[in-house]
Amino acid sequence: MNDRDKYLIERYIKASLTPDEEVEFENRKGDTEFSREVIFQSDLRDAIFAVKRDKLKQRLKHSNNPEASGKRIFRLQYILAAASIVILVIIATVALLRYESPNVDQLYAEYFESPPNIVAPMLKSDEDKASTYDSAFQLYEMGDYKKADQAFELLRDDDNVQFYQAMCKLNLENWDDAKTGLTSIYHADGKYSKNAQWYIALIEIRLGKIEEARLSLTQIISLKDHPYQADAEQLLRALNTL
Amino acid sequence: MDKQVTIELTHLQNDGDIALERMYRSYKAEFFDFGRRYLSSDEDISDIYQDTVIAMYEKVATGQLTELSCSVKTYLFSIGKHLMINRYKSNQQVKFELFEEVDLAGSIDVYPPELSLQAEKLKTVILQLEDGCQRILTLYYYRNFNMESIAANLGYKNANVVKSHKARCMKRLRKLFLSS
Repeated sequence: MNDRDKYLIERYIKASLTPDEEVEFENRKGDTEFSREVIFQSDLRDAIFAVKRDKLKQRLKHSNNPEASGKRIFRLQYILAAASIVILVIIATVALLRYESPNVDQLYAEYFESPPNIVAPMLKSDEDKASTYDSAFQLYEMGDYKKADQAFELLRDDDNVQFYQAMCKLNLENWDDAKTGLTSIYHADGKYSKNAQWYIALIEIRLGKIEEARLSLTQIISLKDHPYQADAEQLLRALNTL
Repeated sequence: MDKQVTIELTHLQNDGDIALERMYRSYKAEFFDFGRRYLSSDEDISDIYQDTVIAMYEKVATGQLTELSCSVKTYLFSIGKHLMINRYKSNQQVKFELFEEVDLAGSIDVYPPELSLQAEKLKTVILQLEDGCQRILTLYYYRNFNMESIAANLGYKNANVVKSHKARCMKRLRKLFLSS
């Protein structure tokens, strides 16, 4: 497929074909390969919309709270309060004993996002000549966290390496090592200090250390211009409903 | 356009998911009162309200809705009404006596398209991509961002880096798709 065809399909997908391009597009639809790519791209767009809708729906479901659900639900809660309290005490006791809530996994999964590789993004021209340094980041970018972790281990210990290695450990669910690395980054007060603070809070949630997580989130919220301030506010609210 | 409407639309456009959640909470109680005129199940109303907010957000996020001649609440409730009527028709347990009162004029296109088999398969494949790829593809297809905007939004050096990254993501997506 030539560049012109790619251009036309891109414009079609983004609903921005000019009238002239529309005519050209229609003429090209007779070509089987062109037509197949148009269908593929349209389906991909629909699929991405569907994925996004599902994620948003989950997010909104999670943000539900009884007070906002209206008077009818409130009344129902009032009637059931006596019965519910017994169940709540049992659940709370079990949760405390286990030091973990069954919802923390869900919360963690919802808020955890592995940061993109912005240190050494992959470029086509780099394919055969990437340095050891860049290769480590590219392994991370490809989602091969185990190999990336090993590669980072062999590198000079700069801010980028420290942070992304901790992210590898987090993705590998090696919570203790990830937290140790992030705590050190946080205290070093470098360029990833605030990011580290956020991910430490997430680890605490994932490990069910709710009080520690609350404290970490409260600290984030109190810091002016913290990049995770809004997320921390939301997460703290969600945490308080557990 | 009313200043408050402009502010709310701008927040939805710029702040994305966080603004969506804020809007969701702002009109929720009123929407439930409104919804009970048509539906008897709070669970149905809750489900429809989520779809309503997402439908409006989608229109703003994709650039289809940039201004309004009414309040955000009016627009939101119009979408909700159409979705409720749809649910209303398919549910035998609802209040039929109200059906004739519903104004069907000015129907708003808010129903997501049914996915083809290929799109269903792609949906599964997308979720197998690493987060960075999912983010780039979402901004490109869902938010209609160009390469420069994606670079600025995700902190990449420039548009060329994003272009190259997107090409790799697409390559990986096609590979996963063919092997699935």
